[in-house]
Amino acid sequence: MHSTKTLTMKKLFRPYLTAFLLGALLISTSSCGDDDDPDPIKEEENITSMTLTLEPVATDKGIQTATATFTAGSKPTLSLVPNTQYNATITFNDKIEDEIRTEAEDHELFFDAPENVLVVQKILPDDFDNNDRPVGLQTRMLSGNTGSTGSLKITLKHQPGLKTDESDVTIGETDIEATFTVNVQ
Amino acid sequence: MLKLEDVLKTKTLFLTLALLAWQAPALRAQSLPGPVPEDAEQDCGLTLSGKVLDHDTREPLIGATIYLPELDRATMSDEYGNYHFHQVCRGAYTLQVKYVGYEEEQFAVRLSASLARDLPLHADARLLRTVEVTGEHLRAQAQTQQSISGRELEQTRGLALAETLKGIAGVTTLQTGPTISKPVIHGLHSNRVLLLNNGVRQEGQQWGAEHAPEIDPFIASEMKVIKGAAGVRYGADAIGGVVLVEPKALPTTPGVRGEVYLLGSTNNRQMATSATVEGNFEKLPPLSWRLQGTLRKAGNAKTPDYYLENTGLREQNFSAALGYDKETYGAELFYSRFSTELGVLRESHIGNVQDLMYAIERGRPSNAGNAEFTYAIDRPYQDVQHDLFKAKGFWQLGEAGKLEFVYGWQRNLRQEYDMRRRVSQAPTLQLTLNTHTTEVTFEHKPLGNVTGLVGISTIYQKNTYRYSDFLPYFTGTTAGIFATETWKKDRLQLEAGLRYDYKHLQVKKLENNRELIKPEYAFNNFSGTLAAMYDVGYHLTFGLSATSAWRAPGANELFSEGVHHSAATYESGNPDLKSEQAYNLEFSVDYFSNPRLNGTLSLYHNYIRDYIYLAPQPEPVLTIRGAFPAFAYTQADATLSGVDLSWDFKLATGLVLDSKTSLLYARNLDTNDYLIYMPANRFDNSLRYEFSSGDGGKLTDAYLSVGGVYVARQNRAPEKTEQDFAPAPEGYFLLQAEAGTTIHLGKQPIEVGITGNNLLNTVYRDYLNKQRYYADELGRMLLLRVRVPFDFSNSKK
Repeated sequence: MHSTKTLTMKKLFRPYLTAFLLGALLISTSSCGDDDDPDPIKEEENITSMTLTLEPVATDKGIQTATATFTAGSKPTLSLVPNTQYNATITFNDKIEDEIRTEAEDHELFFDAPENVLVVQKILPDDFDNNDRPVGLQTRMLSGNTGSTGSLKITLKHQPGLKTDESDVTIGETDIEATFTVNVQ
Repeated sequence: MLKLEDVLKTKTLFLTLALLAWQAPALRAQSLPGPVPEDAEQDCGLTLSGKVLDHDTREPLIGATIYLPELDRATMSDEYGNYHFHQVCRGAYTLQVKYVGYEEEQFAVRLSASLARDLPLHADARLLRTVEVTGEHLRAQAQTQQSISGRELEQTRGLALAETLKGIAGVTTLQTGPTISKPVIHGLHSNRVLLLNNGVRQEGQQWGAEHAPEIDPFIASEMKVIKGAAGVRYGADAIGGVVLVEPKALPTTPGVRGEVYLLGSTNNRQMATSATVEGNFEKLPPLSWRLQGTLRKAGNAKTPDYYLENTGLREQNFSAALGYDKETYGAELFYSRFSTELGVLRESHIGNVQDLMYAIERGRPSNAGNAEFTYAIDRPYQDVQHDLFKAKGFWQLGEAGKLEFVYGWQRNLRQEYDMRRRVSQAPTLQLTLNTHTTEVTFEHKPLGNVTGLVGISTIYQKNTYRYSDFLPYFTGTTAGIFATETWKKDRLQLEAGLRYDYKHLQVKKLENNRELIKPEYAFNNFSGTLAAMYDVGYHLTFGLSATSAWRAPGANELFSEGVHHSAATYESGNPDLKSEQAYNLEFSVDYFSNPRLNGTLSLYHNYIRDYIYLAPQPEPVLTIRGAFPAFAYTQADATLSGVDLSWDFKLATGLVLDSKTSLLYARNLDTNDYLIYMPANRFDNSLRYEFSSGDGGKLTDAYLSVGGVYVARQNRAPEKTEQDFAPAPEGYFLLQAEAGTTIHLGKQPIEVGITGNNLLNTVYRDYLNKQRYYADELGRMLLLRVRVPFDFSNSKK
């Protein structure tokens, strides 16, 4: 009795188990469609370059506008006339400066240069955000004496909820760090 | 029944096949009418037998009384010490053994097939009080395996998976803030530690240090850790060890029962609940089921001084299991979904290495003064979903052995949302990993003194991405074949195992986001194990094991390219990497089942040839955000040696001192320097008092425990090259306490417990927390938990 029972069970059960095993194996191997390739990533909103344009405040002296564009790994040179006031404007690729202007309360540009080469003043009212904090897209720059040379580092910080009167270059996330060589001739 | 089958046939091929596996027996039952013994459905033809022995001398004890209270049956051991119970049904039993001159002892056994179980007794004179041996203390394997279950596991409820494993010496965690943690075994983690979730190899994006295991710890009734290379049984990659997350077996007695957990905590104000309902049909005893679900929510965590912004989490998990289990065959279906949203400390999302230096100098998050508590999660955060479907079947092939088949399908969807300038709903990175695993094992009948297992396994997986190409598309196919055999005679046990794996990897990558390249890789190698265990008697066992495992380089190590934001590094893959090969040697001593002192000592040495790691490069990478230190995946030979010691000592009745020590010494042999990010020496000691409670009291199982963890400063950090941005933090001591009891309201027991972590509100940072550059660790935290088990099975009687 017992042995026949076992035998019958085996007979009946074996096909199901086999089908189950094979079926699962089949699925695990047949689902290997290999026809899709990766699509290129759409690189939106990435900053790739920063252009600094210095226009002399006094337009009657025949002083040239200085401009230079920074990209990753480069160190472009700005040639300035000594002891001159400039209106400096910063733009980016793909008009990203408009986005920064829209989110002005969360962004600020910081400038670092030897004082004898260049003095940067974030004082232009047009540049201020709704909280009366400067953004740095438009600044006043004063060049030093003839023959002075140095590096100007410009850092754009994203400071969401962190931009206050005390927030400086150490706060927030760096979106771009650009370096220019400034030659005063 | 047949109608049901028809309906099922219209379902997908897979489901039908799987369901058929457990339907089949039902069909058989139909086709086999006629007289069947009353209890045939319950498989009551099992035999429980074994030998009654003196635990120390291993002499057989003649004439001992063995009593099975569940069946009210008793027997006596014969002239060779042997005892037998025939015609026993499946289920859980207690064996009460009495013998003159020996302490009366109880042994819990679970019968799912005929079982031979030896019953070692302790001589009366040496005993101070009754020893209740509730499980088999004899180790099954020479290689050290430690597990967390029962009360020890209950106390960790509410914690993430990796955190629950910290109770095992030699296991630590690699953290990314308070929400993300992953297990580290003997200094190794991520791809080098295998996780087996309910018998299926977990396949998420394990390579990432910020990618926590996608497993709900509430599923587990036991978590087991195999320390050291264990490649033979579980497959290549297990260089560091294996974590087995094991659920309870499905119920075998009719009725509906379950449990509900309620948890709450201070600090991050975590709220969690988990519930399990399971049952077994009285009319169809082989069929059983279980449903389980967990909800977990926490807000911003708090250090002693400030809240950590954006460190909340939300988790929703559920699982369902259905089993059809007979003595000679059975099948099980299991499905689980794990989904979580994990906030990442906002301060840790930085632009360049200069930002990181500013953060280290500042010493605390820039917004620490204003940060408040909230449950809201904002960018940056991770959203991860993991689905697992498992089908398992076994078949007892008469006397020949047991055949088992496991199929698993997993889908891991990982979305990472970084900070963005422009408002967008889309993630910044999305990875989808689909994995199919199969395993067939055959456990052959004992051949003389040899028992063993042979098997084959396959893995097929496919990874795709959107929004970011940090990791390429890839398709991996792995096949392995293995055998492990154990020879046991008298006090000596010898083990040997061998495995061969072949892995094929097809990568699809767009070079410079334009040109499609399709490199292919093939890796193959052997894993092996040789081990011996000697039972000296007197509760003392020695084990010696030599194991090897290998790991093929992952797609991230071969091809990742780009800035790793939270680490402020530029990481480059290396397409020319070879496989890693690990050789692990372990010596262990077990002193167990003693009335006063018990312990395990394990000494290990792991030599890894071609260990893959990120090595610093001399030239930084210049990006638009500034200069980043460059790191490239490189290979070197490495050694990791250490000691794990855990012991407990009974000071007085109910009072136990529990101690764990983990020491590790890891070297890079090529650079003759220390390996970076290795766990520091760790000492965990606690004093526990268990209140004695009379039967029928309102409170039982009350306990109180006070202890502390001391983690030394990691002085063994690389010295020869600049690899870290800040020195290893100082060592720290954390005071912890726990209390708990079971309250009996009528017949309803309610378990309550409270755990206090960092009770002194110590300010500290941990070397293995990736966010140690930005913020302190959590301050004081109290966790409250309530467990209510329920059982409707008795009401039917």
